[in-house]
Amino acid sequence: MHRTVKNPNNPCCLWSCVSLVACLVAGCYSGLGREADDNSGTGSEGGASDGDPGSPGFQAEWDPRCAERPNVGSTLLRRLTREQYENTVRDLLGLQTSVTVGFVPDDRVGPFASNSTVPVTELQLEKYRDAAEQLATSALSNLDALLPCDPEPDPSACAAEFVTTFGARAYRRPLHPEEAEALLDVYEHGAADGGFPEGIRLVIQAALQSPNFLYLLELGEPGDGPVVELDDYELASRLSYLLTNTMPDDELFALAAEGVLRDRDVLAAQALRLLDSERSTAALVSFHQQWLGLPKLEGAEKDPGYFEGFDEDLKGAMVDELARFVEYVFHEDDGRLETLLTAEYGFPTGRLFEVYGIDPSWAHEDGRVDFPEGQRSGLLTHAGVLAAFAHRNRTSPVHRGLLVRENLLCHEMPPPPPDVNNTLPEPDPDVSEQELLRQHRENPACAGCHNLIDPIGFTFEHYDGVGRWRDKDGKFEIDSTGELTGTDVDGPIDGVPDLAGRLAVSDDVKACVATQWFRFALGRKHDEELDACSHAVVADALESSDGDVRQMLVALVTSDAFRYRRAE
Amino acid sequence: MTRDKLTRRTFIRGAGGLGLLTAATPFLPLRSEAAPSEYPRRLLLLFQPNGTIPENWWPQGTEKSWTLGANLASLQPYQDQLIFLDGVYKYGQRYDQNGGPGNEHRKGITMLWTGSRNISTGGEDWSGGTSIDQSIAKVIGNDTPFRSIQLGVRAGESFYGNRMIYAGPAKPLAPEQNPVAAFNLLFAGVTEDPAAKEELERLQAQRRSVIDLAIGDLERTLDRVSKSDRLKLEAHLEGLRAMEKRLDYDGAMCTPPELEDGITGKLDTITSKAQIDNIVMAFSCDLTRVGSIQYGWANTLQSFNGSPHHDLSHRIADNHDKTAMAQMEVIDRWYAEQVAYLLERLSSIPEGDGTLLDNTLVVWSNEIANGVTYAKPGKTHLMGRTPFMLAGGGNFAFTTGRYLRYGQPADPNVTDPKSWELHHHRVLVSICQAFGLEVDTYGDLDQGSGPASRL
Repeated sequence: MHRTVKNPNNPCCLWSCVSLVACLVAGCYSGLGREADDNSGTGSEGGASDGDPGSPGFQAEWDPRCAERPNVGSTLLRRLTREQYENTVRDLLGLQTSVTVGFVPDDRVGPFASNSTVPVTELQLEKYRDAAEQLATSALSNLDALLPCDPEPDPSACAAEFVTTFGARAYRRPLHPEEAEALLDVYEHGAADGGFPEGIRLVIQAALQSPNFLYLLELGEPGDGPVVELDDYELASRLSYLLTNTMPDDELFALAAEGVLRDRDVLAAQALRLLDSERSTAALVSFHQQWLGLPKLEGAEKDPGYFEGFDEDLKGAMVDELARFVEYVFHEDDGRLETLLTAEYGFPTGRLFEVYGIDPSWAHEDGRVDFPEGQRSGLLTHAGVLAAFAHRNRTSPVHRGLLVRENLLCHEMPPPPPDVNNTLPEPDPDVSEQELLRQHRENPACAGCHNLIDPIGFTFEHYDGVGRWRDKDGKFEIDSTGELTGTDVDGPIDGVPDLAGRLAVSDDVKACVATQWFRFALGRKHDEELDACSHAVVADALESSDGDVRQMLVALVTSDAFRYRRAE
Repeated sequence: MTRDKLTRRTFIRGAGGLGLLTAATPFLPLRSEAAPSEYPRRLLLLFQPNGTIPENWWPQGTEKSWTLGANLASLQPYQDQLIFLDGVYKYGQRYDQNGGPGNEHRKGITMLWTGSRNISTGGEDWSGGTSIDQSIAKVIGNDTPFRSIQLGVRAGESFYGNRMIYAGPAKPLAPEQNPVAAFNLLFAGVTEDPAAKEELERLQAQRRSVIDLAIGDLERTLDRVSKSDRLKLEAHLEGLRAMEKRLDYDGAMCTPPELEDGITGKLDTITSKAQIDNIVMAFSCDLTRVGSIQYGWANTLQSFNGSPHHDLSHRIADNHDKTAMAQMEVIDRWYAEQVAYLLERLSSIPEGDGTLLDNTLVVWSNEIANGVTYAKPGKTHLMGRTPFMLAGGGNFAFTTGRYLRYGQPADPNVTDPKSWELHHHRVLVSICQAFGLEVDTYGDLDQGSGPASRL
């Protein structure tokens, strides 16, 4: 009926890798490893873990089989997502913009925006042109900040210098001579039209439409075999877009120029540097927003009779809360998966206080609110998540159950079979939601999957369609009991705090978190065979570190899948 | 291809009360003076989601003597321009039978114009085929600035259930959903002011140098990437070359539509009208000969009156729910009114002895059939008797003013395709042939051959 939730052909791959790795993991990353001696003079202050006394020593070891013969699944060329485009333009030109609002929507890999599978359309190319023209014109208002030189007395020489320095930032690597020449030709064209500034404007306009800007091109030096190591600049970009969702900063560029970024210790130290800095907030927030399906809030509506005033302000507060929560967990709390899933605090603003039934005076100075004991549990009980996975006038145990199955456990659930009506009857004051769903599970065509989905969804029933806590649904007492099946933490559960607590210690969930970060990092699903080792190493890092997401990310960026590409 | 031809063709005469008429350039022939064969053939595909109420949608009567369904009353002035194809079995229903991933709505939209199964990719399960408009555009779209134009009225994010137009396998073409952006894309270059024209020429020369740079960068890269990445970069290159070609077009002889204030970009009348105005004037100006407008998406909940459209489409079937029926009627009538407005616009622009409508084939369909009169409670939507209405194109396509009823089972719940005389692939072939394509089958799910009989 449905796909088995655990791959029966591959039940122990993960575990066999884990056992090998587990005994190798020891000590602090910066002090151990075969390349430890090379890890000097990299300019990374604080290096690995010593800047963060609150966390355990960061380790990153790797399965020796990965190191011996690196392997990696088919790599996909990625075009910047809308978010990445805007962040990059901000860092490149110093412009805050919402120029991507009208872009063709990003494609997706899993729950994450990623333009890695579908070719760019002519329509989007037109939009790139419009955006580039707008941005180049805006950038000119701040020309001095962009110029590395004085255009007088020799504007052509200054233009050449600009092409070299700006070009290297726009393309995220030094320019080849023919690329610099092409940009200079464009400069000459513009300068002939309107002097030096017009020439510069046209160079910016052209660079923003070059494939070298729009794609994370990984060309490197051709190697002997199908598996090719990324060069330093390509690594800098992968690292930067994963951990900051934007172009590399000066330090990464400097290390790439030195040619030391391919050193795994340096790479790990840089990952930690970025994760410890505020620059990582954008990427961490973006990952968690998409992982938890928050984009579904856009366009979501609620019946005014069910909840009055479900407007953009309230939705904005919901989105902000998740962002602030993630920022806090990573930068002020311990950055662990368990904390993300079970923290009993939140960051409501505006009318969100009303949704939570909490007086604004409860808020600490930093905006943090401690929820009443046993009511809320981390990301899964954020009002934004609960409202996104609900109908306009009722909850949706099915969608909430699917969120857990698909996004947290990585179980692929098939769409409903073709012969069934998957629309629920209108809410009926005389029939509880559980009873309605029980009826649709009487159909054997539905039962197979819904027996896996609904019992998880029922544990959310204390939260209504906008995330408000409730003890009753109409005249019915809430029954938030349910059951987890098909996982490594099976058993009866009651309420989301119980559910989340269990998920937080599940190795299945940790493996899934590794899977999701892999997708977010590389814009592709991992190859069960070719990426098996890399994936296992990443998942293991999360398990062996007691769910420390930062440590998992270090393992990810030092894995074969991250440092190599497949050139065929 | 040549600018002369473009310029001549882009002259508009009597652009239906738009009030922005361009002065005639004396040495160019007016359209009305050219023979009908001089006018290009155009194709416009329209999509409405979630089926219809069949009993108030389908005509009653015989092939030549028939009356419109009650919910389509607004089309009455154009009845002699219409053809209804009653009894089309459209593919997209059976998970196992029709292959490929997806539910019946979502396969219903990806298969509608492609006749092909979905394929699994690293991302979405896109259609593995090419939609007919894109096949047709390869033949008739090469002499216009845009080979084709895809417009949407709140047509959604990038998701397989939201995309119906495919340039090729797993190559969905997202529609432009913002009428203002579509307007700018199509008509930005249009000006009569000499100073503005000069400025535009300067701008176009700059754009050419920028495109040249991007093309050079791409060409240097092509050989250094994997095969699948190369396909992506080649599509990029092709797009840039089309943009470059478009720089030759100065829009001098084209009259843009008037853009209303307050366009929302939502599934509403003002947005719909603006997109219709855009495509009609793009046809009239010969900016393109192939277009589509997608309203909503397969399975959409978007509605006009509070209740989610998709829920309504089931409620009318399951419960004979009067409230749901009334709300669904509002939706069906709204769509008919949009089509009526389109036909009004197309038929208000003279071309030769007739109008733009005579040279434009409009095809209006849906991802499912639905069925208030026959779907059993608990059943899913039906694919047999999916709405197919053709309009216009009388100068080159089909004899209009007909209601064609094809062999169909007495019980529409019969989902075995063999019980249905006309499969939707036959309609796809007929449309392709009307544009000169030499095809007998279309799409990888086609079980038969040849055009639709009697059409």
